[in-house]
Amino acid sequence: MNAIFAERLTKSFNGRQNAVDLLTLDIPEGIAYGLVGGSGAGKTTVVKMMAGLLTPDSGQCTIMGINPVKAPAHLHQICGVVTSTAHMYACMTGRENLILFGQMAGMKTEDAQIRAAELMKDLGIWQARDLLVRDLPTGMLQRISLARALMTHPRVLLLDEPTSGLDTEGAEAVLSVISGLVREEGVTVLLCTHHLIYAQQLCGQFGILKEGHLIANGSLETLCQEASCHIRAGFRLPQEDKIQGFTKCGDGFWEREIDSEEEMPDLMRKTVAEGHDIYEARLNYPTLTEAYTTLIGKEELL
Amino acid sequence: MKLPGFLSKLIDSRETALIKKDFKEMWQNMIVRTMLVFVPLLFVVLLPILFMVLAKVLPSSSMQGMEQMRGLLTEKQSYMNNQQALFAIYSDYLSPMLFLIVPLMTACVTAANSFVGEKERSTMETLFLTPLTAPEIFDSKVLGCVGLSAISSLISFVLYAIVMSVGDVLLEVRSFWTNPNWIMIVFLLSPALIVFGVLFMVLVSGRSHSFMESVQICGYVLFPLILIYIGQFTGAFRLNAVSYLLISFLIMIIDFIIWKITSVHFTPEKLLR
Repeated sequence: MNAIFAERLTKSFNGRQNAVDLLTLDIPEGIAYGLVGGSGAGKTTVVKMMAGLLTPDSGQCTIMGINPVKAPAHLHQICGVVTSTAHMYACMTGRENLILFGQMAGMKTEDAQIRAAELMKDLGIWQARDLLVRDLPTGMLQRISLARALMTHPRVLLLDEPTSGLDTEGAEAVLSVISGLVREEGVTVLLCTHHLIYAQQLCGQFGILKEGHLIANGSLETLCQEASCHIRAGFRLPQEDKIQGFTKCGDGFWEREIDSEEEMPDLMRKTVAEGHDIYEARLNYPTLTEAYTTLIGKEELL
Repeated sequence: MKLPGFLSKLIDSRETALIKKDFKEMWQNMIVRTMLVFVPLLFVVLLPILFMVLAKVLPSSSMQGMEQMRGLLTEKQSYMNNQQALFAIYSDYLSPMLFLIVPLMTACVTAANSFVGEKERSTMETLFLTPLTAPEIFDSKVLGCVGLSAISSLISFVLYAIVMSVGDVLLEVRSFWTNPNWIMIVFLLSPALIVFGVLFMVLVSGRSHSFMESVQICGYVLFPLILIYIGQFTGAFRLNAVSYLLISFLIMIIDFIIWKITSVHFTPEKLLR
């Protein structure tokens, strides 16, 4: 069964322009899917429709077979959601908040206390357990929101910019917890973000959203193929040396595109045979950022 | 804090957690706390005591316009001297209206905090992400506000009854305990007004953007009470137990209509716009 399914999902807020337009997604169970796009691309609207906070104008979606419009409460038993606009109670501590949300999800107080402590330790916020939410920095708040979404051991996570406002250390802690959930517990994750580096770090499949349209979808390899982004072989040569068919990079390496990494040994042998001394060799794989930039650029040209 | 047995049967532990959280939030809000404590104290304790003391210490000769005011007395009250008459008029005409401000204001303010405040603090969306359904959230919040306002009103009535009994003894009148209107006011009109105040706030919560804005709207709800007070004081009409009964039923019908409207519109799509 597909964990997340959307078919021709459409939503407009002003009746003229669609915030999300005919979005079709099919995300299998147990993977992390990155829905990436810039500001106003429609990522938050997608999450809110899938979480049952917004009703689509047309089309439909299901999470583990549950329609969020028809059974939002049932959905929230198995699906944790983090959005930047869903805040915690400022007059309570982070721990009290988590226990409260656990209780509201039907957990016994003792179980909620144990789960809250477990999550706060995993996310590195245990030391702030007794601080009022109003006194916490953004990074901690973000992690408490994630802990809230994880209280009920969800099978699906819908995350809208979960690393926003986090420093590198905080973002790494969050990503490590999420990737652990995907790897060890088979949780399905829909990560909506504009942080392409984090998306690439966590996800195996991607969708690129632009002005509500899904312009590309698939693995990083597929997106790179679509964007004609190739692996680049790079050599560091003696300073005075030049090599035909290669371009010199800022860091002193000479680079050229190759179709696959299997070409590298032959290319190295050939370069040495031509009389070049290779001090260092490297393979630069295309990144999500490169594929994204190219695909978004292509879309703008159309 | 454990809920009484009959309430535990009506609501489950998830809703109880939400209600307890609402109580805690309300108590931590200074405006709500003031409304729950000082407004009742002012209207049902301090003002009656002030009136009682004035009626006791003011000499009859210094009371201007008492002849016209005596026209408001019933036949049974015609034996009263001016001091007694002043206290009886306060007890019959002014104090019910002042008392009714308590349930109405507490209901409006608690609901403003519970619904508009939650929206203002962006925690309503978080609530809609829990496994509680929208009707469960709605019912729990309404129940919490109604419960708190009812407790506040009941305590207010007990305090008011004590103060007025002392007044009856001091001024040697039997005004408060012989007035059957209070049964209707306490057991029918007040609960109906509490539900009205809460639901009215829910109704305007979609348009209201801040807790303070909605507290100001509470003022409009008091307007009909002021009109009834003026009408009675000018002798245009006189409310008796039957009138209070009819008004209570009328408000209950209005409550039912607003409840139907608000419960249908209590959806994340409409509230989180």
